[in-house]
Amino acid sequence: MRDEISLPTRPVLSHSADAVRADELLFVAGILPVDANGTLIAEDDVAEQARCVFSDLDRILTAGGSSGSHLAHVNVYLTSIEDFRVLHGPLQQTCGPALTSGTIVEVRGLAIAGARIEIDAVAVRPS
Amino acid sequence: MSTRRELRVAGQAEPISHFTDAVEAGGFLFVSGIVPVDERRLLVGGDDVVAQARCVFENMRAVLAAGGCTFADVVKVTVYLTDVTDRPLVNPVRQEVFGDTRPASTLVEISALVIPGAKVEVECVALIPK
Repeated sequence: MRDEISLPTRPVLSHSADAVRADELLFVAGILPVDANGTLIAEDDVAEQARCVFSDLDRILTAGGSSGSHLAHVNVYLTSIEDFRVLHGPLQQTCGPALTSGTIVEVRGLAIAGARIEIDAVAVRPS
Repeated sequence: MSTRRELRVAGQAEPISHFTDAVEAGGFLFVSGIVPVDERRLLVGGDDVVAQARCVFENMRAVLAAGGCTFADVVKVTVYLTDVTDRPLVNPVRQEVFGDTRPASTLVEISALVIPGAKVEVECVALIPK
């Protein structure tokens, strides 16, 4: 079973759904710190950008029949690797007592100028 | 109820941030990005990308084993290099550890990894044998 999930409150930045459900798994597309119009949020504030993307992740997981405690993997793309320290709070808030696997890398650029973080994820959907 | 299990693997360095070593979910083992460090999270291999790659794959072997998998079960690999011209140095190490197994693979150059001095990080997904 495969179906696509797109939230009406999220902008369409490219030829991508917000997430795709494939049987038990939910594949979440890259989330940038933007508002519903695709406008960058909190320029120069990576902590606020992190809160924004994880908040959007929560919404997408819920829409996909999953939750932060059912994450399997999160990829974090940062424009400055030192910013990884801002992740702990939002991750903990999203995952609760659960822990996820993940990878954090520094990239040279993201699709929206001024964005300092992007995340994508895979979660499992509890039956 | 879909199985979901978190794996914290003995002998591996403490994961950074709010991560664990691997998560079993939906019949797959999702392995966190593995860096060339020892149990104390100290860089292994100096500035030798081949030595670093060997360390990464040895760490991966241990995490896969903890999840009931071997390299033969890996379906997807993502390799992050700080210098893409290191690819011909890293690939022989990959071929050695994977043998006849060829997972779907992506290799990209990134500008930095979380461990200063690390030149290679690898994450993977494995299909857990029933």
